[in-house]
Amino acid sequence: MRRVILSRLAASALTLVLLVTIVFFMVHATPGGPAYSILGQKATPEAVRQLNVRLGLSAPLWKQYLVWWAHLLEGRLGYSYLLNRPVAGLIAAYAANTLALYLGAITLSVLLSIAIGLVQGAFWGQWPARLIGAAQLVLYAMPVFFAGTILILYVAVKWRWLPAGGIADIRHAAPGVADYARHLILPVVTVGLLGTAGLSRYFGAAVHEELGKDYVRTALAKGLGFGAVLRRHVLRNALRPLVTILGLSFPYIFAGSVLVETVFDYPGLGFLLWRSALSQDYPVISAIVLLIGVLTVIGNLLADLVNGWLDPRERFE
Amino acid sequence: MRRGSVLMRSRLRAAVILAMVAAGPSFSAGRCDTVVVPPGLGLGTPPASVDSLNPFLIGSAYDAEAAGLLYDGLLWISRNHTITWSRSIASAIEVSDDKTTFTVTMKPRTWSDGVPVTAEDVKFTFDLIRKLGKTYTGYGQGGMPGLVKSLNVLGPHRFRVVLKRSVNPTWFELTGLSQLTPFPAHAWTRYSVNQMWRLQSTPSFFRVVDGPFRIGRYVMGRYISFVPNPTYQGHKPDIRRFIMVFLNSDGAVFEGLRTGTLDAGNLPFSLWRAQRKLPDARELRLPPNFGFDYMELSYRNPKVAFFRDVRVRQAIADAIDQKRIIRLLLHGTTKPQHGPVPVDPPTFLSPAAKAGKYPVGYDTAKAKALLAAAGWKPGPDGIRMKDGKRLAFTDVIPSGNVTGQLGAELIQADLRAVGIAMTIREVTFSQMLVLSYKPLQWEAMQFGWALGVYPDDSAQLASDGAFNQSGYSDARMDALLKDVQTKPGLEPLYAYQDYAAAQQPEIFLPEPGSVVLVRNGLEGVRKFLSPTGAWSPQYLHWAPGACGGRR
Repeated sequence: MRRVILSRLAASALTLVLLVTIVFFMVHATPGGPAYSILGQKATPEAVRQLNVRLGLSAPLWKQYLVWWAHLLEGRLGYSYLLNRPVAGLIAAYAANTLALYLGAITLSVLLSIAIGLVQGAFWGQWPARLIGAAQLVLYAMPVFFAGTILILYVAVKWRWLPAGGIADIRHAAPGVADYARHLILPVVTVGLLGTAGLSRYFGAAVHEELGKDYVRTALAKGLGFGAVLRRHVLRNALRPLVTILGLSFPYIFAGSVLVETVFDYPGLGFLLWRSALSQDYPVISAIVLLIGVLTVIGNLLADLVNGWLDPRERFE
Repeated sequence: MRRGSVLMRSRLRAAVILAMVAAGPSFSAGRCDTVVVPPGLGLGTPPASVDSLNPFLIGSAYDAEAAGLLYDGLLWISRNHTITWSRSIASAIEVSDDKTTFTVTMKPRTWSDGVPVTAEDVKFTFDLIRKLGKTYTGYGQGGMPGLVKSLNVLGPHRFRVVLKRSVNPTWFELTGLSQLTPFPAHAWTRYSVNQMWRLQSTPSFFRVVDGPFRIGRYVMGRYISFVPNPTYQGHKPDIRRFIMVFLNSDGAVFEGLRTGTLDAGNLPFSLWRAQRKLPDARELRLPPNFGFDYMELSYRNPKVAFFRDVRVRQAIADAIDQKRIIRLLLHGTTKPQHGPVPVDPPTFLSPAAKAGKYPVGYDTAKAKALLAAAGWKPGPDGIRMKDGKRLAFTDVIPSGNVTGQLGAELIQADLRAVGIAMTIREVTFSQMLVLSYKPLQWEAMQFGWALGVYPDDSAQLASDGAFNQSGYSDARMDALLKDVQTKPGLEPLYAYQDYAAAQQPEIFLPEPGSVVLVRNGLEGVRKFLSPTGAWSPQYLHWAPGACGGRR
């Protein structure tokens, strides 16, 4: 198992280097540059040149690239051109918000997927499972910004149950945990529900597959109740593919955060990435891409480890 | 200073906007010691964030709004573009007979840490402007800093500015001298320019202030709050907190107004009819910003050499029905613009402009006659031709601005009616800026332009203007612009604007006015918003009972 982890880590490191290299050169290849965003219409060639010198952008691209890596190895992610803050501090502030959002969404998604998947698997081929399948398809096909808008329209605007956006009520000098939680509900539900569509479908199919296996028939033949079989035997075995998919979905979750955080005016990493992309804030873009890459690697690794824990056979493969 | 980059918007927010528009009323009561607004209020632009508080380095009007709350100006410019002495740090300016020396006397004021505000602080400002060079946000305006030969401190509250040449005193006071806002030398002098660059959004750097507010809290990406500066010597704020909340779309502003999280916000033209959904808000119409929109023409690109013919330029100006654009898209918030001096306020308009007598104006028959006189005859498809070349060009506009796109389409239709083919190309604003310095890669571009306090547009129209990307060069225009800067009185300004209106070096277009929705009960908004962009939230207050007695 250790060897598997080490080889996986080595491959992941290579992937990260490639990813960051490609992104670095791609963002630098886009027309304009941060100096234009900062100076606006006052961006004369001379002012741009002077500012580029100050920002360290006048050096050849390969040199900037090497400097970026040198700083990274020293633990420095650089300085945001636009927000005038160290990138590490910025990312820490925004990532905490994104983490809160996605931990909530993933928890909701997993719990719902297990509940729905068990029902779907148990009634496979019958009308309850077909109904669930149809709902899954509708949700799966729904863009996150559309779902978010619908929820805002009804829950926040029409019924006024929850705030439509933001992270807390800024009129309060010191908003409480409850205020933060209230602002989290709609984005969490949006991401969680859409995530549930795919996850519950996979889990339902896994439950159905497990139910057809010999050990289930044996357990039933021994007189164990159907519910107990589902809970004690089927659930654990069917969870394995769910964990793998969850691990693989990490990058998609972060990609989706750009949209959902924009719709809900939620100051998370996706929002920061979107803003930084618009203003060509290279250090922030590179750092976020690197972070997403690292999280993807960690997600996959965690999925392998959890699968190994769930299925002892994997530990010996 | 500029409005352009704010034109970038997220289209996916359109759905959210529609959702908000469809929703019911109304404001919920907020806490009445606080006022919450988005940056850009009154500018008629989409909201954004405040990213810098350093007045020397700021790149956007949003940053300037925030920085202006912390530091009072040497000169306060009124709505009519005159100096309001009661709100200025300067108490008097003496100008030498040869108009090269300006001696300024300052009122005794103190910084928030008790240190007096002195002429040394002004000297510090000037030295820093020099040090920053072209990266200084107001570089070149009012001749700063190159026109200044020396700045000498004569006493704690008196300094003298000596210029390299004689100037129009009004021009220099309003555009040059007004930039010498005192900054706390004793607190800032130990920092290098690079350190200042890195600290431009760090609140502790700005703890010493002399303006009506100081920073309460700055939460990156979310909001900045201000609290009254207890040592402020001007009008004391009535409110206890003033918050600029950073939002990313017009839809979010509208939603904030509707749910009560915002107390005022811009009403974009695209959401014009939606204001009926906010019965607890009142509409406040503001005059356009001191500037104009314009179509910049390339004089360097040989593909559109026809722009060098003044008759073609006049024909383009005559073909555009500005009143229709104002009626259909800008909801009557502004007036036609045919010259380089904004029509509102009329302070600087020439007698001819005041009377509405411009050399150009919507007249298709005249436009056709001018084109015919210039040798452009209608081709088989109606587009005019001369020596086998079609009278056609591409107009680059910033993407993401629905009103701007529709305006360009109306212009396109107007030009086609007189035989000119205009193709519209949308690119991002920063791409437009890059393109503008590549003469062969563009033919025409549409921008907005904010003027300084004095409407001298030498930056664009002088042959050596810092922002003359078009390559326009006219000896008479240069001479007239020089007169504006050097000869006293308004006559030179009149001569320049009348000549520019006839020449149409760029096609002048109307600057949209802006409409602000204000929560009922919030008063003092007109005094809070200034056409020059400076904010004075110390005049904001809630009407008695506006918050259900929870004040």
